[in-house]
Amino acid sequence: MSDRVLVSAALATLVLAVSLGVEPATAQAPAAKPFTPPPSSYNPPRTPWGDPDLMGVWDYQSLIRMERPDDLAGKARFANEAEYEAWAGTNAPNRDTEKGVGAYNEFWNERNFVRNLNTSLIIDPPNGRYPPLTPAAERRRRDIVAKASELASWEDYHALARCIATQTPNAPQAYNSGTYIMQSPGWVAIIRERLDTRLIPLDGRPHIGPNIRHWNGDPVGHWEGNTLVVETTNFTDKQRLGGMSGASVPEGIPFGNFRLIEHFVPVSPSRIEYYATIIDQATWTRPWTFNLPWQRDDDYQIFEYACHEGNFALANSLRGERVQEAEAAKARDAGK
Amino acid sequence: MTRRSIAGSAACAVVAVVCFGAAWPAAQSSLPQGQIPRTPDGKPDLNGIWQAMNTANFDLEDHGAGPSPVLAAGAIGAIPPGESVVEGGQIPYRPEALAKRNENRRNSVPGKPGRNLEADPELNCFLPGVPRATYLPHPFQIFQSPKLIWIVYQYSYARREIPLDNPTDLPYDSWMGWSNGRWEGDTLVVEVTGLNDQTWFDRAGNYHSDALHVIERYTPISAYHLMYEATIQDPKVFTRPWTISMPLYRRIDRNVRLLEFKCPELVEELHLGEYRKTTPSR
Repeated sequence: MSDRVLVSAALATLVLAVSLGVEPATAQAPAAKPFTPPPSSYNPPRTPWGDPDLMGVWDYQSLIRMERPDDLAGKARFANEAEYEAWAGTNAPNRDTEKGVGAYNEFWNERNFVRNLNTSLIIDPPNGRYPPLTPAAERRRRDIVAKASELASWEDYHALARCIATQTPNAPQAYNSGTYIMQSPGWVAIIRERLDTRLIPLDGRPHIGPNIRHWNGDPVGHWEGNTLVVETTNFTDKQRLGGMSGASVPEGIPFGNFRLIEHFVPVSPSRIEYYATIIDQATWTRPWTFNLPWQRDDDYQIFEYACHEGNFALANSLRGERVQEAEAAKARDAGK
Repeated sequence: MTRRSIAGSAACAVVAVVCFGAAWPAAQSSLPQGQIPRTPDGKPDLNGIWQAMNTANFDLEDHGAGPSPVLAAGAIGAIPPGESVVEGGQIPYRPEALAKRNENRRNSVPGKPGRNLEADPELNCFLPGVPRATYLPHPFQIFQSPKLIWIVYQYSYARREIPLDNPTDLPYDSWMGWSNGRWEGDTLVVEVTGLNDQTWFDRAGNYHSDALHVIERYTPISAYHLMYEATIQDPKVFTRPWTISMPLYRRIDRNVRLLEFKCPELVEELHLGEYRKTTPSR
């Protein structure tokens, strides 16, 4: 086994330990109108065929979480950079002094890459919290989470630990979040270093048929001025264990019927304001929107993310579960 | 070719860019024979979805029809026949390497559960390497700009970033290797190094070492066809460089797009089935 395979296996193991630990909100929120992003006067360069040119590497590592922390309740934005930096200082420990961590520490991460004065990524509802789940969705969520803890099979692990997919839409993740936007006439490709590739046709075609379901959904897009608008449907309901690094949705919520509307608003040569609106009446009591800024990162070189090839962690974890169960059964039998 | 179609082609040649840009493939089919679409900077326009149409993934060399490696699959799993895509017909193995190839061939589909590392890497859904990614039975999409090209393959969304005329150094070996491209006339030439020794060329056990160096050549021969060549250099395994060649076909199906083939999910039962919980819940 090469060192590289070992490193990949170690990464897959550690990735299990990283979690955003998000929780659903309980406060009732007012009904929402269709989301329209704030306009931008920035006029980006053009591709040779006339589309806004967003090509290059972007990154969205951020300290700001999906939901507003309790200690910032009622405060939608930091007053200024200084207030943000003061808060960031206590939320991104100094990488040289950090001790006693169980996973990656700030030596490996650079979560303070994108400066964001919002105190939560969720901007609608205005309280910065997920809207309430429908009662049926809440029951389903509890069933999924309870069953997953049994670790009866690989299906009880996150899609990321299975090296299949991260979530679309994605929130900040701890590492490997460099994302290449590539364009050709009639297409935009969003190439995430970690696992996912989204190929977005701009020619007005319909979505794929309802019987084809994708982990990252089926996107179709168009330009509204300089804003790229993408609608994604046809998600598989197998994407249901969120809560890991990069997840935008709490654990136990299947994506199956999500309708995702994204707005990519270029606001400067180095920044895109990205808005994701999730619409699923069977799951959420109202649509909701989060805003994650993307920062251009010309120094970031996208590398191959060969995850499945070195993923021995999943087999070892499952085998460990079965060994522990067998030992427990043996102990029970001996005690009879 | 009839006189009328020649006239139609000539008319469209004058406005070739318009014909191509407007409503191809109907318009594009009117390009004169040998005329290829071009980007505004005059380079061949390789943008689009392409696919090989041959049996090279079963075996690069001559192969007759064969039975399914999985008995239960019957004729559904049978191997279709195909002629060699290797110039000269045969791959010039060193004698000891040929023995290894033959051993690979016997182990290609072991027919037992688990992560079979002696098997064809495709069986395990490992990234396919180059040139195999090109002739897997899946389409791939080329995105082209003046500075670089991305190729995204439907198979497991394998991807390659190919900078043009600005060579970069490889950082380490990987499954899909490190690519650098350049234009030679109307041919895109891609040098691929840094390929690891974990991939095979086909299901028949043809393989290489970590000394593999691939030179690919993509040459448009019409609006719908690229000629693809890959020259294989690997002195640890072969007595001399050798070349495969095949046409690649533009997929013109209505609304054609790559669909998800995230195959790690498709091998979980094979790799992990023995660890599935079978006893009742606690």
